[in-house]
Amino acid sequence: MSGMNRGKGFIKGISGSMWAGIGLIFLFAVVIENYLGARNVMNILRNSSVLVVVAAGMTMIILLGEIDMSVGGVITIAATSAGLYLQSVETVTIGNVLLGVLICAAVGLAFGIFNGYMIGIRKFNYWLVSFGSMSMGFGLAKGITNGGVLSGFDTKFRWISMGEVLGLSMCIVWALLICAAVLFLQYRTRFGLHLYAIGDSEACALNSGINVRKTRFLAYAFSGLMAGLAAMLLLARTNSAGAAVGEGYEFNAIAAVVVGGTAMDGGKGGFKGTIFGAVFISAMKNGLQLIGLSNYWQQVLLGVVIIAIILYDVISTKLRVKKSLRRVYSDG
Amino acid sequence: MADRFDVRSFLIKGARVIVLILLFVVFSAFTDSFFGLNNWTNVGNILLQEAPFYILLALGMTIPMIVGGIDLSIEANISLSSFICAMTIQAVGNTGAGILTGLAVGLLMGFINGVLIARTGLPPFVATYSMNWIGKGSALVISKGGQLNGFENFRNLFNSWEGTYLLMAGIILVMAWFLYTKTAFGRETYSVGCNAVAARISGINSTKIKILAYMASGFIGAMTGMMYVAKLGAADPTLGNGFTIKAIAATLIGGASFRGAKSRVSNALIGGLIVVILNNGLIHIGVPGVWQDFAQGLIIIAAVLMERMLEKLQTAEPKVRLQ
Repeated sequence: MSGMNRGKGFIKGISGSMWAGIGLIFLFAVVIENYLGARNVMNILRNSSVLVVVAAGMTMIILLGEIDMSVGGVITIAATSAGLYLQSVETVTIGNVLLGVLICAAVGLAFGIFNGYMIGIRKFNYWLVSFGSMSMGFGLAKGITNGGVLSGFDTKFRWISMGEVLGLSMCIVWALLICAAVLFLQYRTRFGLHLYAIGDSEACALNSGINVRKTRFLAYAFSGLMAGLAAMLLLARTNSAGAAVGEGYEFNAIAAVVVGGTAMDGGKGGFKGTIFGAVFISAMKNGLQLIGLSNYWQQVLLGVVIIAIILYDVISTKLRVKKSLRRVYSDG
Repeated sequence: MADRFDVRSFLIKGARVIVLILLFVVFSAFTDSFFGLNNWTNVGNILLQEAPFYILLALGMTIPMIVGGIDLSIEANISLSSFICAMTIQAVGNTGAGILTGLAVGLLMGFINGVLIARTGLPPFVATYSMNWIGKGSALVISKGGQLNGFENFRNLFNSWEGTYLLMAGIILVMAWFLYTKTAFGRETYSVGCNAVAARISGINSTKIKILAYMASGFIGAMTGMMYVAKLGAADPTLGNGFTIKAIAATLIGGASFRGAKSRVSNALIGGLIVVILNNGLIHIGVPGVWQDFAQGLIIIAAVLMERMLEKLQTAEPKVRLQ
């Protein structure tokens, strides 16, 4: 699916899973009244804003052929630390809000740097390290909140997500800004292109003089920073923090990236698809909710969707290889 | 020279046991309540009520690791199979039928994992992680978020003698040890974990072996889940939440490795004991229970670092000998 030639026109660039997604959205639009009405579309976009930010970091990691399991835990600890700080202040000023934002970003970046150092520079197994950071993130958040939930933050801080500019929700504005920056980073900078090279073949990338260690380090640091920013949006939007706020975000982010056509084995796809994937995941959840299926069903379906897409990817690659082998051998 | 070499290889091989003993000694020395010559209650409690679960969790994670995979669906498995077991007992009124259904659910989940990974070639992390969400979601859908209570016969089966949990864990552990070290099947499993292609060429059905490894993990997960329900007295669709982290922490600190064929059944035993003692000892030292999850994260990172350190020591050996 991602093998379809890039740049051969817009329609051809849309992967099979995207067509399935568009079909599902169309189906929802027929079944549910006002599903594509302005109000519900805004709702879907607002819901996807946090996800698209997390998935931006995840895209970079999956392009490398790896997974950052830690994002859920990092969101949790970043949101919880900022939440604790904001609640410790009596009258919140703009300066406090800025510091809260800074705490989110710094905690995220710190975890990202840890992951990047361990995985990129010291070459530990990516999965083990990010899983360890995930457990530490959740565990720290549980420890510092004593297992409880923080809620009720100052409206000045909540403006970050709930405010409106030109009729757009602030969280959508943030998501748009971050998307623009990430698109630039991914498609217009050396770093972004190096990710593809490393994901395709690390040995090749190394031999052509790419600093693999540095690129990998930066990718994980970036993923951590994105998780921190997502934590900021989430905290301001849900108005609560605690040991479970970020639960499942790594899974949703992987889903968004995979639906967007980025291959799990790296080197193929990109952030453009992920934007669509994140919106699609939110649209699907929203549609299921409106049909009357609970959160529980959404979990099940999301798992099925991921398995189906990767299965399709794996099987179609296998068939392609078989076909080309047959051609080679019948010619000879 | 020879002497030093021996000590060194002994230290490397026994590093995990040394960690276990050190932890035990430190906690006994610094607290009165953890263990003393006149105070066996706490250690007895750990052994009978906590350790069996951790050992089984670690074992369920270790077996897929032998074939170079991992089972992240263990928490879904625990929740789903134990809940379906409880539901069957309430519906049919027969304890045996409930246990069989629970085990069947575990085996089925393992089978699906195995087929996805071995037959179609999905990466183990993604396949089992997605199955985890499917399983957890299904448990919540079936239960509609509620709990089940009752089933006295089932609970009495496990709780009438306090050593039951340890006995069951022991039986499963010995069975797994025998199967994976003393039989041809075990050797085939290790050769698949070492090099699946070479194993296939030498006539081993690696697909079947991998599927069986995941089914073993599913079976053990289901068993653990049902034992938990018996211990707690209620079946809950979120019963398993957080167990994957515990299982992975125990497995890694026990010395199992992702690189396949390096993990042993004994790793699960040692790892399970280390995590149990650490969790319990921290409470006795005065660390609140809410910090347990964080400790588990630290264990995972420590285990990763320790593996690298031991590896370095091991590879340094031949150089010393050559000089």
